[in-house]
Amino acid sequence: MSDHRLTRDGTDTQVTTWPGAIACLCLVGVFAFVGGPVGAVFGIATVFVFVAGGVPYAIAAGTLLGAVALPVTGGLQLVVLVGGIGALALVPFLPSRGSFFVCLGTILAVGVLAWMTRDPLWVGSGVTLVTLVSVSYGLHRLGLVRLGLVTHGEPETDGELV
Amino acid sequence: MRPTVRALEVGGLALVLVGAAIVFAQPLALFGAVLLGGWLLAHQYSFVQACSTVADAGVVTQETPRGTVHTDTTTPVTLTVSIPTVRDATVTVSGGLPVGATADSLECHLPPGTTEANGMAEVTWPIAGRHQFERPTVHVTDGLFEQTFPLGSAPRITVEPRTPQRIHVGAGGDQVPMGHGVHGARRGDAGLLPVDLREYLPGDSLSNVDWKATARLATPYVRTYQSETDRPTLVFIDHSSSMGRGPDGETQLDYLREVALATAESAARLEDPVGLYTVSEQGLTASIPPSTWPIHDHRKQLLTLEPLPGNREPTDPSTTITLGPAIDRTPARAAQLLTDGSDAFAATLRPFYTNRAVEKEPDDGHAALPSAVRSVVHTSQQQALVVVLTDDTDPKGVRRSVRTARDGGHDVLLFLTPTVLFEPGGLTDLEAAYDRYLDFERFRKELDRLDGVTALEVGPRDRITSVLATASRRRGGASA
Repeated sequence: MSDHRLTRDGTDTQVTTWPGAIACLCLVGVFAFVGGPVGAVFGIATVFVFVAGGVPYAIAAGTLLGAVALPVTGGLQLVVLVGGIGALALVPFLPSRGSFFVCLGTILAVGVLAWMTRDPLWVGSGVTLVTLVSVSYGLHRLGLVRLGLVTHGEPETDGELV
Repeated sequence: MRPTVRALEVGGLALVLVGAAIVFAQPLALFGAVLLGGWLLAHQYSFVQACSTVADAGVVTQETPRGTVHTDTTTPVTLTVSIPTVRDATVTVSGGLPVGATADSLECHLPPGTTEANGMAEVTWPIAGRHQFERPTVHVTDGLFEQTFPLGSAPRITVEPRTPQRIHVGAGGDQVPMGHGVHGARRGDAGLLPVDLREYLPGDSLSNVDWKATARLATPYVRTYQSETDRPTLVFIDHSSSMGRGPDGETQLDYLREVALATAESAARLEDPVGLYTVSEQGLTASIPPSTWPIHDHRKQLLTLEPLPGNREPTDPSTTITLGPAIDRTPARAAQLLTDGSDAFAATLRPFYTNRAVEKEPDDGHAALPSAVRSVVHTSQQQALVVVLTDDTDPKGVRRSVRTARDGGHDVLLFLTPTVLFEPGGLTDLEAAYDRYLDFERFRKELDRLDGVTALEVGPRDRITSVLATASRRRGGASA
């Protein structure tokens, strides 16, 4: 894994691996299943974005294209589409079991939470954002504690000796 | 832990998707934000794991080959890094060089998968003191997050100034203690301090009767007094070009400077007024009139004193009080002025000066130090301790300086540096060096035997020991 990998999210290496290629095929298949030939075209477009811009832009492009152009009428179609796009998100973490399960677990947990609070949608959006930010902050604090960078502040006094 | 621009971009994308979900009422966009969030959190988790691994199992060593160096020396500082394998992050370790060090950056760069690296920097130490390294800082980044934390050792280094470290002040190789004791009055210009009361004895002056004590004790009592004086100490230090001999920071002037500082401070602590006069081939270059503690000006002048080239002008009169030929108040100068004058005043005074034994001014280049001493001590109204610090390159000038001070009734403390100990390669032939040292010692003893004169040698202790070891070998060879 090179430095280039660090700034490009590994897309150039992922698509040349079997898991990356399988994830791309799944994505195109899922889009074709939901939207037919038009969906397949959108799926291929998403793969192009994946190759060119990396995982985050592929997820954003795929969900936006699916939301705007595909007839997502039921829960099954929604789950299938999210699963197909989510495969792209999981590919980078296949070599590391811990990170893979953190990614999968986070997606499942926050996804279930978002599903349960999706009506009205703005509430689900708020709950999703708050949850993601809270977990991120928790990981940030965990890192500081592990590195010994947390300073234990002395209790403030009024400056007088008791 | 800080997110990089890349991570903020991903967060921005998630917000866009959330906004799109609300605006277009499309749950799929919201789940896209969930996917992005999960992907980002997994990366964050991986990054925390990587940082923890490096901090727990990494070893960073920062070393200097020596714990003590001299100022302006350059030493290598090495940085050795050993970390466990980190797949998804780049690690950069920066050395924690002290602020007082001058060096190029000391860094080790470990791409993903690299476990060991070494770095080295040539560090120059321009500032004396004890310098504490900071702990090396480890910078970890995976492209989405970055974190910096300290790791490893932080050595300490002592930078010593280039000043004489082992100063020998003595006579014939024997060390004598430096310092001055309280001295008694030898002149009538003393002050009187009441010391004790005792009963009146026949012959005591009535003016010494303590009438209050007499009335209180019903017996005549007199108060005894002890005389006290402040004896000026006049320090003359030679900073002509020859005083620059010796290694950098350990020249003859450097050694004499330390002795002059110690002498001046010792005298000042005894509340004696201390005057400082710097002399070069040009004559008196600067003077500070006698003053009591604190002697900041004296210290400043001594610490900034440098050997003057032969053709150098005296120092700036605005910063120091410069005494030149205008204050030459010798009888010879007065006689010359009166000879030049044609008025009645000059005619009246001329016989008084022409009849006096006028010392002839030498024209052989040995006049700077004696002239400076003469011009100063002749103006001193009190008996002074004249301290002269110079070398043995001009024995004639030194003799005349000492004689001038003694003629004025002043005590003389003379500090001489043997030139042979400071010349480049002066000790390569120890036998020849010892012979030259013997010449110096004879000169020092000649001066030391004079009444009221104490002559001491000043030099590096190790070099004097080396020269005297030759004498021991010579004696050993003669006895065998």
